[in-house]
Amino acid sequence: MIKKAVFEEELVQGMQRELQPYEKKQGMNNLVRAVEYLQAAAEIFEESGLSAKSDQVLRILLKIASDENDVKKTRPVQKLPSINKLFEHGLSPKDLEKAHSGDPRAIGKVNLALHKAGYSDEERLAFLGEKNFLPLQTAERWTKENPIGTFQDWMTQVLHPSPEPGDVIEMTSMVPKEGSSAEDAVFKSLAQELGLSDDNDAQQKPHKPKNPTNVSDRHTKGLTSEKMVENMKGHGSWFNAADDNNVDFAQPETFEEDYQKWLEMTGKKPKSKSKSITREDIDPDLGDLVVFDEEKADDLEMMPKDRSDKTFEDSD
Amino acid sequence: MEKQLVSNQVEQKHGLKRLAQAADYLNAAAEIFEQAGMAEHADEITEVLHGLAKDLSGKTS
Repeated sequence: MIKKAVFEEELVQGMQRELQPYEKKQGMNNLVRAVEYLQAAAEIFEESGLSAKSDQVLRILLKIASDENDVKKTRPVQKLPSINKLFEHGLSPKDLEKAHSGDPRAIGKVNLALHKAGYSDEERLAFLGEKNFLPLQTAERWTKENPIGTFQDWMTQVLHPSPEPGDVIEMTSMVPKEGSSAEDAVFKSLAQELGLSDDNDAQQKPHKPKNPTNVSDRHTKGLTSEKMVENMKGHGSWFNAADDNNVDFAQPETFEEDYQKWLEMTGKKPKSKSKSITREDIDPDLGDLVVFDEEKADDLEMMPKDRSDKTFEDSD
Repeated sequence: MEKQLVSNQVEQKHGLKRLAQAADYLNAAAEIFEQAGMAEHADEITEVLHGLAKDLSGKTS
């Protein structure tokens, strides 16, 4: 249950709170009316020939007016420029955004737009603040094509003034010296560590990528019309494809040399060529698989039983 | 003469009416200033009213 006293207090406080701004507003309206009353009274006095009284009333009116001016002086109202007016003088919403983020060119544009809109340096300073206020000449320079460039020029002029005769100019190279200290980080190629590449390779010029149109292809390298015809005869293609699918093995110089080496290593005796293989030389288990043709023994000493009549070409 | 006297009386009456209206205006203005906390201006206006009352009392008497 709500206590009546508390409820009343809250109600009174609320009403007072509501009345205060209303009274203030009413008071201002009444003041205007009071001035109008005074003006009317002064006119009446004037008409009635009481000029002394009229002057007295007018003096009061002047006092009220001067008091209002004093109030204005203590709290000056800053006249803000309208955005549309600034847009008319070459400013864009993007410039405003950039100026907010601190872009020097946009700040220069804002300064110029305010100047064109008729704002003095003091007004601009009051509106923009010391951080964003620029003198007119600086603002014009900053709105040029490359404000950063001009800023850099200015910095170089300030930090590195032009040398005079007799001055010693010292410059420090940005390239690290040869005798770098132990603290310097040194990275070595993995290929070098593994011995896959020479140190000379690492010191060579950086690898330049080749022109992709000039990639050599063994299928087309040195291809002439004659060679194309030969290729077509050889393997049924115009291109060099004879070596495809070939695996490079170290080919023995001669079979005889390798055979002799093998014999030396194994200690076996070489079989005479004239002696033909007989059924006794073959393992008894394999004897049935081999057919011995006495007439062709010189050319084909061994031949499988089932495939004796077939040639390699016929098999396909 | 009678007509002249009557017109003078009417004129005086009208003048007094107008002055009374001006006094009302001043009084209302003084009240407003007093309510607004501008007592200085209110006092000045009341001084004007006092002077007016003195002038009128002298004229009428």
